[in-house]
Amino acid sequence: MTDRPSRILVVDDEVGMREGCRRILAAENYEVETAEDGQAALEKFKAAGGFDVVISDLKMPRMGGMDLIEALHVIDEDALLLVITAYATIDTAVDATKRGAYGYIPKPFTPDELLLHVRNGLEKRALRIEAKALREERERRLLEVAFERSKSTTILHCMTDGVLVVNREGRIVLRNAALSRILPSCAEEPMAAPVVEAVDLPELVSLVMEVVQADAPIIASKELTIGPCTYMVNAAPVLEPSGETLGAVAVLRDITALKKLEIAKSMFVSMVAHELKSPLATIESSLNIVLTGIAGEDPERDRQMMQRALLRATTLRTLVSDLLNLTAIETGNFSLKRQHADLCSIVRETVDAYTDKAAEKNVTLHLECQDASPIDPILADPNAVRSIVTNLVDNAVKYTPEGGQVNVRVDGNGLYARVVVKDSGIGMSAAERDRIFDEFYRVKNDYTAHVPGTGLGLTLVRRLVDMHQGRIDVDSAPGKGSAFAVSLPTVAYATGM
Amino acid sequence: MSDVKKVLLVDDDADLVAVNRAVLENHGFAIATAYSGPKGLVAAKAEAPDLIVLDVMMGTNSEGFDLARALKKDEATKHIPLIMVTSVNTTVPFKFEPDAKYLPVDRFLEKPLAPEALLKEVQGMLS
Ligand SMILES: Nc1ncnc2c1ncn2[C@@H]1O[C@H](COP(=O)(O)OP(=O)(O)OP(=O)(O)O)[C@@H](O)[C@H]1O
Ligand SMILES: [Mg+2]
Repeated sequence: MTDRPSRILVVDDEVGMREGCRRILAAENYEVETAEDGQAALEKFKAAGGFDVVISDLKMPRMGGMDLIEALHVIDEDALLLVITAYATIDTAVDATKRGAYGYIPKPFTPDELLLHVRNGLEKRALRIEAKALREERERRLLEVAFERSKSTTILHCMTDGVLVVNREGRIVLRNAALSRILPSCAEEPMAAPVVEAVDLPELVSLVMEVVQADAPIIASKELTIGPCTYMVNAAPVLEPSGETLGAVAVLRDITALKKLEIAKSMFVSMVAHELKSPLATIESSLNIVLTGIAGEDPERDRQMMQRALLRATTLRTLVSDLLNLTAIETGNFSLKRQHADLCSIVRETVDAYTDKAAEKNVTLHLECQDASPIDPILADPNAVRSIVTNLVDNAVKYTPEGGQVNVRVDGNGLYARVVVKDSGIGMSAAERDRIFDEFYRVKNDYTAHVPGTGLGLTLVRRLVDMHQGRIDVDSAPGKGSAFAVSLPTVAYATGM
Repeated sequence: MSDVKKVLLVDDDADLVAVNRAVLENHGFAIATAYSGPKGLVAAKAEAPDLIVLDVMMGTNSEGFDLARALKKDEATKHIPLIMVTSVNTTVPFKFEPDAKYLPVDRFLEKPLAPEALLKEVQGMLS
């Protein structure tokens, strides 16, 4: 078993006996100690941290062999004791074995007899140690198994997916907490209830039973609607190592959010397609009549028609670039390059760019920007701000009939710098105002029917303003004009100084 | 050639109305226009056209349908033939067919409609 020589303690009050035993045993390479009575033996035993075998006489002064057996077993319940005794006391020897000695050896004995008994004892001890190790090992395994089970149970109950397991007879053997939440009625049924009775969802039941009853292992999947939610259900057989089906496990994953996203996406795509299709159809028709001459010859009218077609094409291109910008913002691929910027000069540039357009329409475009009291610099992306202001001025000019005014003003309060674009145009109702920031929303009336646009301008404005932690306010009434105010944080405010 | 026939074009796309107007005028029709459903009903009564061509998708998705139903209910306009033009068929999975109750129109045409095709339809219905 080990390289270490076995250690033996010989206890006898006769020195001849002690030394005789020592010689015999030492010759066999055992490590031998001796003691002259029970008391001394006990002390040596304690001091040495145990012996493999203790050979002891019964009758000794101070403490006899009987008492030594008991005392030793208190210290080490596996201690092995061999009793040496004379014929006359053979009954006592039998008594000693009953008390825990593993054997006795009657006096007088030959060296071989002694060695035989010692070897028996050592074998016994080795077996005992091994058995003990095995016992401990088994207990540890059992503990581990119990722990593993509680661990997997915990994991199972923490899962957000619902898990349902049925056995070969279609009876419920396991369901986790999520499943009980998804199917509260099932949670009330006792364990081992037939799934057909416990689950009032025929599609789920048939899916599970299909797997249980299949001849060859199959994995079945299905989308199920439970209340307001949609679940992706996957059912698979639970197999024995031999390949035999023990039952089935069904996992229910909530895919409601994914579904909603899918619907929103396809709605968006069809909306974009529609927005592209109408102007394209108009451009197509315009080109068509000019090329075929189906509307007769009228060069001036044709020129005007081409002009409108060109405008529509430009609008389409704007739509596409607005879409790209919006997508970039939404997917996080759009980063602001915020820097110290002067709102006044950005607004002035934009207004200048619109002077011609406004004059063409006979709309007065006026800019109010006090150079006397300069506005605090803002922390903003100049291109984004340009885009914001351009969209507001563009709308104001577009939605103001001939002879009207557009007034642009810049002011600030130290925390925010603000640009207000006010027009005397067609205005809008409160219901319309609530929707103008929606993608593609355009107010439809006799006036706007003649105004090209995509309905994405203000959507983009709102996103850009939000990205700057700014705010946008709208004041408008039908026929009374509109005022759009965008406030952007100043450098001082944005940097907390 | 008898008297001039009048066609009312109802569509929120002013450019498309202008194109169709040019084609139909060139072939001897008189044209009236309206750019929204409600205005379409007013124009139908005021102009007493011989035919109405209307787009389904206006301000709201149902504006064209609402107008068609209103026109067929009104004593003054119920006799006027109606052509509906729309791209609805391509965006919804089911097909529209003229239906006395829900879709009381005489012809249902899909957008985009070539100017020539519209001209043929109008000429066919007014001959
Ligand atoms: N100053 C305004 N006065 C009246 N109505 C306005 C004004 N600004 C916006 N609107 C209404 O809000 C709608 C949405 O505006 P938005 O700028 O998003 O789109 P658009 O101008 O139609 O198209 P785009 O700017 O993308 O070319 C407009 O169609 C219009 O009906
Ligand atoms: Mg706009």
